Amino acid sequence: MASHWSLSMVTGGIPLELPYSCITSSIFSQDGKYLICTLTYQLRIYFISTRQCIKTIDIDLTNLSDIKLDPMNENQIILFKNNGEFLMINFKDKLIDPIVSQKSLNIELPLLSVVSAKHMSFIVISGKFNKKKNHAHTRYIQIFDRDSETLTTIHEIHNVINYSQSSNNQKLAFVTSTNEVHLIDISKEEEISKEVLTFPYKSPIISIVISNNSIIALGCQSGTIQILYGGLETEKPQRLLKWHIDQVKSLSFSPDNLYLLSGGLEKVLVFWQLETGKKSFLPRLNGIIDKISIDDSKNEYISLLLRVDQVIDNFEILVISQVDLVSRLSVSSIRPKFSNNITTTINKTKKKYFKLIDTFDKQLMRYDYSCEFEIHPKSKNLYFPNQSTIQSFDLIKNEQNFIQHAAPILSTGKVRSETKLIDPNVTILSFSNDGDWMCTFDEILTSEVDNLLSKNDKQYALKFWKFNNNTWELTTKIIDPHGAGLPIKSIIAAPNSYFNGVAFLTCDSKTGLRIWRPSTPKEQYKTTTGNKNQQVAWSLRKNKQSGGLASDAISLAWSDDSSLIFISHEYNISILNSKTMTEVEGFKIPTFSESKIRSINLLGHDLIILSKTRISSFNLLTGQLNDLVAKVNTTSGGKNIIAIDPIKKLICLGVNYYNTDNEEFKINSKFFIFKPNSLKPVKIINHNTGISSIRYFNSSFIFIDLNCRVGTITSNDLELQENIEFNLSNEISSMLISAQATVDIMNNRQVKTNTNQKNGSIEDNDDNAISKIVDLHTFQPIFQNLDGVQIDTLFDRIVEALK
Amino acid sequence: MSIKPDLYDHYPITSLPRIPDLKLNEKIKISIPSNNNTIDLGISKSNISTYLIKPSPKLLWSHSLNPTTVVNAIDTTIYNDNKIYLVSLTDRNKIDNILLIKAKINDNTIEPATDTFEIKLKAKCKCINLRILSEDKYLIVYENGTVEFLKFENNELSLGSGTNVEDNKLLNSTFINDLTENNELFLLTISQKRSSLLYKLYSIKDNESIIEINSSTTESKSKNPLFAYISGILYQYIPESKLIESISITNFKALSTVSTSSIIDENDNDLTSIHACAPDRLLISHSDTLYLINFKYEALLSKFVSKSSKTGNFKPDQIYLNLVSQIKGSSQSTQLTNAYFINLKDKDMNVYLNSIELNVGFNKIDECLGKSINGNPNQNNFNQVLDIFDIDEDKERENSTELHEIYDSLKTAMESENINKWESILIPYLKNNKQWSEIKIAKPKNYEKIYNFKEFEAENDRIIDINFLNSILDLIFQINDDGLTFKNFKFIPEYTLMYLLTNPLFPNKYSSGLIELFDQLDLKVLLRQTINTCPRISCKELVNQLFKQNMSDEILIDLINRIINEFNHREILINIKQINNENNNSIDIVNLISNLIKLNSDNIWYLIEILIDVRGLLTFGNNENLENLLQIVDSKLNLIESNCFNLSLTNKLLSKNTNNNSKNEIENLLLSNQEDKTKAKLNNEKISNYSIETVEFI
Repeated sequence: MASHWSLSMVTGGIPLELPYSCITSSIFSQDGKYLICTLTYQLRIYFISTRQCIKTIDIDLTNLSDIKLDPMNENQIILFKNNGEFLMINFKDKLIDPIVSQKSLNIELPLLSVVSAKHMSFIVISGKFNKKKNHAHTRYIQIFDRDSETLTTIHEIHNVINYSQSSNNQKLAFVTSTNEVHLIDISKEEEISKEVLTFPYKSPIISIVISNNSIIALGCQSGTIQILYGGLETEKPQRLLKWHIDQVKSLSFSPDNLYLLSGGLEKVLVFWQLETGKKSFLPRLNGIIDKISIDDSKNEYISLLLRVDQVIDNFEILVISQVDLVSRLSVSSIRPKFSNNITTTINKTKKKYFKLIDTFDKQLMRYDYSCEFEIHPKSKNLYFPNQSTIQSFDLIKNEQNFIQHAAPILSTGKVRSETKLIDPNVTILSFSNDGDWMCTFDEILTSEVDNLLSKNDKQYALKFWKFNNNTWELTTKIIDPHGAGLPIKSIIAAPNSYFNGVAFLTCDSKTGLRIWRPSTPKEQYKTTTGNKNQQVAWSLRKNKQSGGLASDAISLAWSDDSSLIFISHEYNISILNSKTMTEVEGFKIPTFSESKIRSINLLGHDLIILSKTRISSFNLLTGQLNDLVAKVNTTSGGKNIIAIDPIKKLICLGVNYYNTDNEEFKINSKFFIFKPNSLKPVKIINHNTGISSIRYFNSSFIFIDLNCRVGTITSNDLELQENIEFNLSNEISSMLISAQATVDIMNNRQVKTNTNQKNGSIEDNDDNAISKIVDLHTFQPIFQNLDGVQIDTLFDRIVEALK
Repeated sequence: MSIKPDLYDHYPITSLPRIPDLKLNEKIKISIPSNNNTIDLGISKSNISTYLIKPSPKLLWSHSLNPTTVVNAIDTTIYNDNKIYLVSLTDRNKIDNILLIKAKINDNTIEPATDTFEIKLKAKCKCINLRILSEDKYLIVYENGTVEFLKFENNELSLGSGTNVEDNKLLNSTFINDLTENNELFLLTISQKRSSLLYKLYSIKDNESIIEINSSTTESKSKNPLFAYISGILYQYIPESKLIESISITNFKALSTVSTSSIIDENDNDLTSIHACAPDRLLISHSDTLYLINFKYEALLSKFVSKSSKTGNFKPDQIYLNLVSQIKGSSQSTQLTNAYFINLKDKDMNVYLNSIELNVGFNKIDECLGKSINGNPNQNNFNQVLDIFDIDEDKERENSTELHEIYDSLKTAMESENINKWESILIPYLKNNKQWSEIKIAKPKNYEKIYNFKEFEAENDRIIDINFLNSILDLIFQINDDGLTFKNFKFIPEYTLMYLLTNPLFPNKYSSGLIELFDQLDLKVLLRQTINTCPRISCKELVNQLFKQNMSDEILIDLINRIINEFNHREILINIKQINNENNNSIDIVNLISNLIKLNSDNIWYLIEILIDVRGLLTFGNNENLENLLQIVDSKLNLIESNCFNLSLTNKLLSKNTNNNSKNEIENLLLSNQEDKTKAKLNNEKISNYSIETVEFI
């Protein structure tokens, strides 16, 4: 059977971090109308005044080190990669291939940043990467002659921790591990002037910036900002600016050099008036301010690179106006919460692999990389629970919709000892089938800070939210919903056959089950007039007591006809009658797996069981396993890598494996599309990155890969299309009407002919008029010379033509 | 009354006259009953009658027929005080008549027939279905597929308008009123024309017009298909292939097919009848059995077999299903209905009209669990479990014989009682130590090799088909009337069992009764392993074992740990109570408690708490036990007290130690507290970092 399956990527990954460049991961076009943003696999071009993305260019941007506008063509930008490659990209015109040219600098050391790109030459800085903070390396200032394609080193500075350049690209400042700042003026190419400033050591230097008039600001780990004045005849005292209480991550001078902008872990953007030392603040930004930049081509706007996730490096680009400090544009990507940091764990595994190269099982994932996400049935947005927040992401616009705080949390950034405060963690998120209700479960660990006896106590909260005008309103919050100390491990929405699907089933770690449904207080029924916002409270309706053994391996399934509830606990599955909440008698599901069950899914009358070591499909009617039984290694988040298409009756299973081809070491994946009763897959699709999570939505499978991209797997296979369920009553009625109509016509005709015969008339009546052939030529003359013709006249003409 | 889908409570309504030249399906026609209490019958060559069926069958009314007249169809209804019987008859001379009888109803009795009217049908064609539309308007369906109105005017029956005369063989015709919301009447006819089937759906409008609204012709799959209709779906039974096909009546296209070949045997001579009792549920009669089938889930919900009570060399009874009252079968109030069938008892050659009650269920999956029509096809058929990376979308699975070879060699080892050989094959294979090819060529050593007990490890061990595991255990165990036992008491592969007992896949089939078996045979090691690791042992079995005598303390502690860790308080309590009741309160809880107290484990206190709950503290009878318990509590309290003192003392010492290392001061401190004996003791002893206190039972 030839089935046409296609895998396509929908988003382009997360905004890039360019650690050595002076810009955030975005750049304004020369006319200041467009903002070009770089994501890991995509260039996005935004039209600033409408905030809309007008164009995307799919291109692999890993290893990008800097972006510059092409001085020769305002529609082009130059992308520099750290291996010396540079690409000219036309971002504006509609070209088949937006990559205009691709060349290389032939550089030996990694290219770190580009100081300037001119008609004839590029000035670049190269050197070794800083593997750790405060590693010092030599930096080389090099000129690339575009004509002769030669690279010459014009200067080198040793032991550089960090460096920066002025916005006019003429001054460079290098801070070294010996507490010196090397100020280098490259305005005259022939003659480089250099000045060395020393400064007293306060704490490690995190950030540095230099203004066009040679003022240098250094941001320290401890929070102070040191100001040094360079290029002066007479010494000017160095200054300290104190407000930050933790790392100053980023600094920038305003275009007129009167203000210094700084940002750090506090999530507050600080404006320092240099003359007076007065400060003003823009607080409560979405993340740690990693970089501040002001583009020359649009200098009334400030772009910020905000670090929104610390587990994986995820960023948001925020463009605000200097005038009113209002956001002009915000570019962010999906924010899944992977259960492990991907880069560090892959590096660990890589080391292990090279140690045990022969015995290493490449199909056994050493770490879990899954993430939770759900698709809201009503708005079709993706929802990512991440710590205490839930991000709603619009896949069609490819933009973040909103961020919902699901649990209370400090909205300011955490500094110093505050980082020990543990945020509440939303672990489970579920939507009712109609999308009107959302159920979340979060847990708060008492913070270590207090060091009380209650240190290890967790507080649990189950929350029910109603979808109202595109926002979520909290209707009910239940503290410790399964009793103190018992966390909920699984939540599923009821099938539509159970109170129209407005119910949630929760299961705790000891297989205690509870069914929750909303209820409207009775008094409210009486006063139905006017008051639309009836108070709805969710309450416990049914309950099954907990067993004795706690486990993390809990999964639920509820049959479509709502009669049966399936719970898996460790490696056992039990079936409950949903009415009585007692175990079904006379039918037991045997144990299918020697290892913990990750998830159970019901597909018609087949139960699909994914465990740590195998996938099995069990027919509930025959009480026997189907052919689909295979060995597969899954990690603890295994429930996220299987999805069920209930209409086409398909299973999509994503399997990650380590790929060591080409002496690389990375994670690749395969998607298996199965039917529940056959081991032979309908399709196997390969993907060049690992996958984290799969869900089913609207006849396609939507997945998140380890590069933070969203992809879809769809089939246009007609064979698999199921008959659309018909409404019998309606169909019969319409058949009846058409049959009646036919009969009526027949009858009328008979009647007419009868009357004709009775009258004995022989004259032609309208019914028997000879039909006229109508085509283009009939109407052509009418529509000639239409100027000034009244609509009535036109109508008359048409009638005339038809007669 | 039954709460599950079931066929139950059958009884005869009447016995039918012995007329050998009529087939079972021709003997009687039943009008669709309008209520649950009476039934109207047209018995060929006998009479037309009305029976009261509840509370017990009783003849209410009858109108006798000429002994040569065959009833083709009957419909009845009540208008005001009149009961109308409309019957299609064929007499000896092959003359077809329609008989209309009007009878007065008085209270609960029907007066003898006075007004009878008859009309001869012109087109010498049998009327095989009819329907009373109103008091004076009727519809008749001919054998050739023609449909015609019949009027009753001026005390006279007359034929009205109808469809064009056709010349087909009508296979089935059904009056339908469940299609639209206002219960409009439709007529579905299925007729055969040479090798094709002709479906037609008519709308019967205002008792005046017959409009064909849908028709379709398909290739006939059978010479003699059977049909049943309910709620928009037509079911076609094809006797040749034993398939049931569901067909949508909006387009007459097949929706799905279910095979009944596993329940309906090959004997084509037996009569089959199929009726729909509720949406997705069918009642089929074949040979001597009635089957209640859920079509959607392909499940056999229930069956009823007619059996003659006396044994003898009789042919099986015959059942022919005549009629089922259709219901919705979706709620508590719409799941019970009645079916009427003819039952031919071969013992006395009598034919009875029987009624049977049926519960059709809710059409939910919980009623169908494990009840597939097709039974359990691949039991004991095992395959190698493939790695998902070895699966190819273009290749079919290659069947390896490896597992079967292993099974065969294990079987021979078992039959020859060669435990050594068995152990040299199975465990190395399952532990993934050796490939089968290696094991095969390795010669089993003659001397008794000592194997180490191996535990199951999910990460490293071979992933095997659960059916293979079942088959292996089939070689070791058997289940007979006394429960689980070994197949051969000389063949107990201990190492294999030890390993398998640690595997969560150990089937439930052989885990229940295992404790009992090992206990009886005094296999201590296996018993302990079972208690520790064997999955899915019921709480009751474990609790039961608690009350066994002569258990070593080790096993008892393991047992208690398992019970307390795996089950909740309530469950254990219920099970102990149950066991207590089963043994007429004779289990010795007091004795158990006194045994438990001797053990050193925390979990015993949970169990003791439960045990006290079972009977209550006051029923402990002699005060001695209570005293003992009190003493334990007292001694524990004393221990806590002295421990508490020791702890504070140690703390004090430590704090003194850090400040000033003078020995005198410490001694002074100790001496200053020399009031209590316990405290005094510490004077000469070294104070350890922790103390161990054992509970002593006095």
